[in-house]
Amino acid sequence: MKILDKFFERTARSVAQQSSRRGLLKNLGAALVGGASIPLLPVARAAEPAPKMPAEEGDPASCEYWRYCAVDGFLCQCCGGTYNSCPPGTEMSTITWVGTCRNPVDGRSYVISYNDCCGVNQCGTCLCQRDERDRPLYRSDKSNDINWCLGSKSYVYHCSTAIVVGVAFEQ
Amino acid sequence: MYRTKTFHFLARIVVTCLASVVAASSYAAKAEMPPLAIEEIGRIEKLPASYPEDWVLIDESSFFNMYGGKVIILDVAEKDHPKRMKGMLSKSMLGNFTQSAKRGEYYIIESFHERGSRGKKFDVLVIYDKQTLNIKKEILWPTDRLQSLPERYSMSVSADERLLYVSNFNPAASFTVVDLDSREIVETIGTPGCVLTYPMGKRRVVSICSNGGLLTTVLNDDGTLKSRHRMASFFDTDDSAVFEWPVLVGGKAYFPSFHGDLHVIDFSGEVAEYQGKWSLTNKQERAANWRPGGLALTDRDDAGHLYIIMQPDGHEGTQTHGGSQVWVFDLKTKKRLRIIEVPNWAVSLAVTRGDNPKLVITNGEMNLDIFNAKDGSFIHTVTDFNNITPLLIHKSY
Repeated sequence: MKILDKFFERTARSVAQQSSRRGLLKNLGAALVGGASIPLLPVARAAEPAPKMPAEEGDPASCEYWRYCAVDGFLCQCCGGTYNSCPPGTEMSTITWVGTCRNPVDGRSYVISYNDCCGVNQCGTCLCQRDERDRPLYRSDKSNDINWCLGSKSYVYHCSTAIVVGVAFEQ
Repeated sequence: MYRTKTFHFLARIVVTCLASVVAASSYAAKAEMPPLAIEEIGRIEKLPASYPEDWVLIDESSFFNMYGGKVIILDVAEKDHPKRMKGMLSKSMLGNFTQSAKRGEYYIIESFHERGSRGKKFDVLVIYDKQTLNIKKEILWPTDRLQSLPERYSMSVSADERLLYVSNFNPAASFTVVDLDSREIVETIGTPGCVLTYPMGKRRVVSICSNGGLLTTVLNDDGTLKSRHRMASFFDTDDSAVFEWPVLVGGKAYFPSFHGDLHVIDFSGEVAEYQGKWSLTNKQERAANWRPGGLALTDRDDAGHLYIIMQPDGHEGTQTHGGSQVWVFDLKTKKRLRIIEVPNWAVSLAVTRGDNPKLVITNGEMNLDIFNAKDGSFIHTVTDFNNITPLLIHKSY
């Protein structure tokens, strides 16, 4: 594993984010994921007093960061973007794959949308492959092997984000 | 110090003059010989119609520079580095590759934007001659071809090598049929919820589906759609998923699961038919979580034996990370024949054809480790062949 870790610039991680939410999205398909889900976030509450939000721990530039449990690609955090925003000059894909990752601070599992940033050549650093609950491309909603820039004007893949799009409910 | 430097400078002049005198006398002696023949400009090498068994075709996806993808033709048994590389084909933006064994052709479907990373996207199927590596035909694609990490069955040819099947995904799934005699598109056939093109006989294509089943698409002789048939689910895509990397042997397809079962599908009848499963591991190995793992993790030799990468301590998330051993199975007796230790880790594998096959491993540093596939002995490591992410290796013919 050490040799593989060296290539993928990945620190070995044995915590498998055992959240038992497998199958949550099985019947929902790709339609739920990505930008289509973003409007569901409570942006309209911006004018209200901000509730106290759970904290997040960890380094978003590290492959071990909790949101990256099913990622496979270059982390946008290292490419001029952040874990939930694209670098300047790129375009965020509107469809993508999702994972279910456990936030170690509040113990909740969240649905993470790994929207790719597209239109500029490959970022080429902070390559991270975690693949927890990643599935082959016959489960396209959970497959990180597909170039999800297919939902963008340009198919050129640059890097991957990890955006919270909802709380994963217990089955 | 100054005198020492002066001495060395003068000594160099003397040595240089002596060498010039010797060389001049040598040139004078050789002036009696005829000069080199005038050479032709524009010579281009040609490859043999039938490649030696130890040559392989490396699908280099070039993950760090996807415009720079390529297929590299390499003699993996060659000890002398400059003699290893035999040729190369361009393959842009995670292009997909397959070949015909008898027609002497390679097929690459690739993508371009009209102005580098922007502008209109074009998908193009390119048909190559395998001896000259010249293009026989380019076909502009009518839809969006599958763009992903390399898959052995993103494209395939029919058993009679008359038809080519090409996977599409946008994200609606389909495949396009190309008549290889006329080199024209026949039609594009939808495969709702199912992907990839496992060839089944002359006019059938099997795809693997999101519900854990299979779809058999039956074609007319000209490649047009005749009928579709869905096989019931044989695995749970969440809890007992299979790898999309079966080996096809003797009219059957063998799909390994993440947990080490081998599902057997009959490909010899009218439609794909499930024939049960058996385990690659015994009780002790299961307790130690020995599992299949890797990207292109399976292949077969000409004897029909299965080669599969195995990892200890496997768990959710490690299924694509590769392993430390290759297990070899006789698919008829369901017995493991041998274990091959791969000291530099294995991400992908391939087995060359012939009676003395080589096991070719993409190791953890993205170099190739070459083994004698019969006895498992290590031969050598192949490096420096413009390898960045050589994630899929094909036999040559």
